[in-house]
Amino acid sequence: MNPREPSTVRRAAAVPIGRVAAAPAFSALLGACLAGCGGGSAAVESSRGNVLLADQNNYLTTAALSIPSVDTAPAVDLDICWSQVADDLQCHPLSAQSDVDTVSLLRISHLTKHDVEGKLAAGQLSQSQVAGYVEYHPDHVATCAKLSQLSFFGTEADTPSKYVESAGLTYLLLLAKGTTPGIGARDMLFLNPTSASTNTRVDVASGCGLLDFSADLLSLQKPSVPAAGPWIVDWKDITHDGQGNPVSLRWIDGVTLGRFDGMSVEAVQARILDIELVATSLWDLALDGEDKADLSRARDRKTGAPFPGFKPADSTWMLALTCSTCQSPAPLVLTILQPI
Amino acid sequence: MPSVGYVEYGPTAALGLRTPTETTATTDHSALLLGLKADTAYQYRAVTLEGTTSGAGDLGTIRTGNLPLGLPIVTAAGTGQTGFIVVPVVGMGVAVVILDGSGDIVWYHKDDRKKDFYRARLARDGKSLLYNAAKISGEPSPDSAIVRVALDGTEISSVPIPYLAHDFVEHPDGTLGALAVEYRDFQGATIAGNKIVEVAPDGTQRTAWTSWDCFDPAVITGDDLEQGWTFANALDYDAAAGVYYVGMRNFSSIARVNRQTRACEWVLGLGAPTLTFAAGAPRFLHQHQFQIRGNRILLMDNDGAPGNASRVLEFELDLGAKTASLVGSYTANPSVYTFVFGEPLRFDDGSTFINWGAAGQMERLDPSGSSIWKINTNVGFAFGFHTLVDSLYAGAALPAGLSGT
Repeated sequence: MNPREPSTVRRAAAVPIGRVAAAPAFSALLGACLAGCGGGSAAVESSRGNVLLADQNNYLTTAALSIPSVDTAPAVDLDICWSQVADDLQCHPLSAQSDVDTVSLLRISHLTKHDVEGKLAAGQLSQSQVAGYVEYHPDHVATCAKLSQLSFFGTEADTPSKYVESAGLTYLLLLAKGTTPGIGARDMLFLNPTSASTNTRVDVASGCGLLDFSADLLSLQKPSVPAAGPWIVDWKDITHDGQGNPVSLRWIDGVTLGRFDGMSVEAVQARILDIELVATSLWDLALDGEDKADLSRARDRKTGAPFPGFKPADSTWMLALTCSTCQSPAPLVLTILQPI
Repeated sequence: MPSVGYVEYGPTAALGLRTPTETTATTDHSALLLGLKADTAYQYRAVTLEGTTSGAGDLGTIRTGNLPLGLPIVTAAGTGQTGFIVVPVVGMGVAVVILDGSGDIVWYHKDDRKKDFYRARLARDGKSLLYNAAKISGEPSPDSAIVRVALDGTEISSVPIPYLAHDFVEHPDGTLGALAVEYRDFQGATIAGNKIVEVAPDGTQRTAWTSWDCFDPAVITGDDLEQGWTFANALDYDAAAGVYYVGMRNFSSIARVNRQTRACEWVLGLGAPTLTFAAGAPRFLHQHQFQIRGNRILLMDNDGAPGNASRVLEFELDLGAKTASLVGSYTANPSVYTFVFGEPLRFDDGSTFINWGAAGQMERLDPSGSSIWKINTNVGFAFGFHTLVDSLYAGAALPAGLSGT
């Protein structure tokens, strides 16, 4: 137990360390250690921000997935091809060769296809429901793979023999950008092994149309933000995401600020799946466990220039709190700021 | 005036937690508070002991910080699990965490080794935590290591051991025993067996056992000679008996290994068995961790159950008759499947703690076998091999009521 200076703030998951006003003849230096104290970011309670977000400031969303299903013969080494894929779940262009980094197959137990669609749309799938995971990383040239090429993180899994017909199992094929398991899905397809089928080839279709996503940006209360600053946005009071699910704020790992010139809130709402495409400017800020952010630290996505302020104030200003590792790509929190 | 003291702390003015009393009188005191939940206010006060006189300071308040990215969201249901669970998490993020009985993360550690962590233990020194940083999927890693992290995060050291496998133990004298992969030529090809590497407290390393000491690939090939001949995945040590217990996934067998003679005193399972399953007893397949309690063995049977479920099996061993009889079986409800990891522990009162590994689920059963507590991770996170402790200040001491390996 090493003495430490008072008021020192340990980096990494630690809590404040301060000198204890103690009993007679006992002047203790108190170290309190949450989580390793070994790496990461400062994480210490301090004053609140000046732009406070609460649930009434958050958008409301509905999401539903309708994932197609392909019957195949069971326990065979399928040919899985995605050469026909041209766009993704958000109807954005998707290159079958260059944009697919991971092809994965999830075996899910105790959930029907309908259940899986609901869990995925809500981002509520739990690990215990995944009864098997294999993946394949394409070389960005070929757009087909054999089922047997899907492995468990490099270890051959004899996947075809485990691809069996069972009422209790649902097989979900994912095409994803990035290589983090379960993250970045751009297209989906259920596989249905059945002895009634002799099909041994699977062609994944485009993802546009699988996701029905809508957002209500008109009903939220717009938080005011001082045009002249400071812009310390604080979301500690947020308890639910846009779908109404309890939210873990520590999953928020990014802030995106968007300016939409010549677009009303209603117009932005109508283009909710394209907000990054139709924005006049976007500024981003990466987070690591913080529950507030100083927008002056955000950087222009294209130029890297710092956020210059809310000019012009009559533009539509959108603030999104994002989670790059969540099952759903939708921002956990999204609001319309009102510069004053 | 030099004195000894301690700090009481807790989420309310009732406090309820405390650090150990200092062992040396001093005028410069410090105390490390462990077991704190994230983003939570705590109260504390210092207490001094000077001879027969004690005094307590005023209550102070601190607030813990937030957890960083890359740790699982753990949901809990039920009650009945006390103390702490020291366990690695793997998947979307890799870390060692300590969970309390509510499933809350009260300690974490990550490093930048780009390895997975498979086993975590509080060290016997009472001040640090040990974990193995390695790769077990695909090619084993030549730069794997057992890492020691001080509980206050201030010290990190590591013992390089090439090609570490899933598991390691710490002997009472601080010697580390670790499973590693060992390559040898066999009939013109290279095959991967296993060995136990011991690291003495002075850093000296030696091979305490290899799979070739007990088995011959010409006689038993296991599941897949190319991918891994023995594929040892679990290790326990009984200091009183001087024996290791080695689980071998690709043999679907568990062996009792005499540390001195390197002989396998018995082997239970499908591959090279010396014990016979009693009539009607199920076989286990691709098992992972286990617990030896007297003449009983409790194990995670990852693949032996029909359908898509893993299960915990308990056998009674009759070493005289060389038989193993099934005395218990448990499947989660709803069932879960863990293709890797998994670890059951039976307490003396008959209750059972089960880590369902890759299913991201842990469970506590009461003595009747009913599930009374369960935690689950969000999708993308699995649990490695765990250790249970009652106190984070007591080193590797087993929780009250837990015995065996």
